[in-house]
Amino acid sequence: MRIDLLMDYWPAIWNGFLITVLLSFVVLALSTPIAFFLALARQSQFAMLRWPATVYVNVFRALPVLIVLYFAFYALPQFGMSLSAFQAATAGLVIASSAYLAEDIRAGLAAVDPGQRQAATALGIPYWRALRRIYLPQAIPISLPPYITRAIIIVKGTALASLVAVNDLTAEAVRAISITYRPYEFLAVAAALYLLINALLAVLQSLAERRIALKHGRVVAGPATVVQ
Amino acid sequence: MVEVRNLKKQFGSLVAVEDVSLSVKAGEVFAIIGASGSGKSTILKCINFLEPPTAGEIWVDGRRVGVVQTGGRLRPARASELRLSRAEIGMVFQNFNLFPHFTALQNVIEAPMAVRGLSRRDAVDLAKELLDRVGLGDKFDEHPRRLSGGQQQRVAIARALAMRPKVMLMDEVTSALDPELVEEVLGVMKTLARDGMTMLVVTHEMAFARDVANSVVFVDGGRVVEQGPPSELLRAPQEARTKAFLQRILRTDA
Ligand SMILES: Nc1ncnc2c1ncn2[C@@H]1O[C@H](COP(=O)(O)OP(=O)(O)OP(=O)(O)O)[C@@H](O)[C@H]1O
Ligand SMILES: [Mg+2]
Repeated sequence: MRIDLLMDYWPAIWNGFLITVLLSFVVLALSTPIAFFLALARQSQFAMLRWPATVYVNVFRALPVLIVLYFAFYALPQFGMSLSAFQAATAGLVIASSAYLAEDIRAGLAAVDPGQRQAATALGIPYWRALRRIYLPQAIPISLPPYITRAIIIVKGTALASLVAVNDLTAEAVRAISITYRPYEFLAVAAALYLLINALLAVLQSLAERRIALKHGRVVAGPATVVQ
Repeated sequence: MVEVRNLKKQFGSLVAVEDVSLSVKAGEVFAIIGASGSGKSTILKCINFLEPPTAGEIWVDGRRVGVVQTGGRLRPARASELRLSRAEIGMVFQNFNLFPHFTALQNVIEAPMAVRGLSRRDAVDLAKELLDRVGLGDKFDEHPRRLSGGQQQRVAIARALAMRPKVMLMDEVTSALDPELVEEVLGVMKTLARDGMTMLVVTHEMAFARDVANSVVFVDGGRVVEQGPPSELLRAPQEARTKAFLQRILRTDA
């Protein structure tokens, strides 16, 4: 172990870590609402909403994330959008992530007994209110474990941003290795920091599940595994 | 109170209901009987537009459901207009369909607050009164999974009544119950009938149809085969298909 080398590169690694955290956060914060509306659109009675959403989800779920990322990096500027590397990476990751997350959210909504919809409709409860008060409280406990699992995959996937010139944790670790030829030290540090983020997500998950269980007096499954 | 005129409902190429006309007077209990798949549930669902009819007219309390007339023109009702119609039509389902994350009381107050704009306090007062009326005065704070099927169905009836509906649609509301729980739900329905509630009841309980209904209609293959007071239709059916159906039912009942 060359602690001194680690110390030399720590500021850069730490910066990369912060960028990874920021990128993960922004990507999840943007793709979650998009995924939510995609999931609703896929269930919609209106073909005008259902079709585009279905095509979107199936296309971007089928493509390698890296392809989507390169597309955002190289192609979007061609359409007159001048994006920084971070913005391009965010766009690419959001496009891909929202397609995946939409499926997890949709699965939760689809698992709600159709009788609930019939009962709410027959009572005359408006759709958005029924969604908020009746469908979502039943769908969220079902969606949560796959959602967190997917969120963890998305956090790890931000490493791909290092390939489009974002100086994230992976980029900084790889740079340090290529200069120092000390792969083990820097890989260990990078791994530990990724673990840290995802451990946080796992903690969030069990907190959320405990809250749900308390609220509904229901037993829910244990936390998702951190490492995929 | 409820008029169904030449109702037709098609699912793709399957015609589930064809040329059904029914007339239910205020305060009447109207029983619909028929074999599985004959279209009974579909008729009820068309009345409150849970399933929009393919053709035909639905009238409840003198108002057309699902269609609005503006300046001599007819147009489909908007979602908000449909909700108002539905609020006048209570529905109770075979599988109760209570909201599982709500207590009995929360199940009952949700729609009056959301649709009728009742304050929480008024809604709670109303809900307690109704739950009392269906014999669940001691179960306000129980979640549905802690209640028996019969109790759940009575909560569902209270939930529908909380909208102060003009008519109640009841779709085989005792079919999912253990035999010993059927009576407590039928008892509530009889009380409702006595209090003058207009009800359309899909049922396999022939004794209930005989004792409580004012009118019985037998449907087969999505069409009305025969219609009349229970004393005639159940005792002396005219049509061969009605006879055959009643014989089957009575044999399995015995
Ligand atoms: N949403 C739907 N989509 C397609 N077909 C349907 C739908 N709902 C009902 N059907 C069909 O319409 C016909 C009538 O169904 P319906 O549920 O009204 O019968 P039912 O008399 O209520 O039967 P049961 O006694 O089993 O409840 C059946 O053939 C059924 O398969
Ligand atoms: Mg049915």
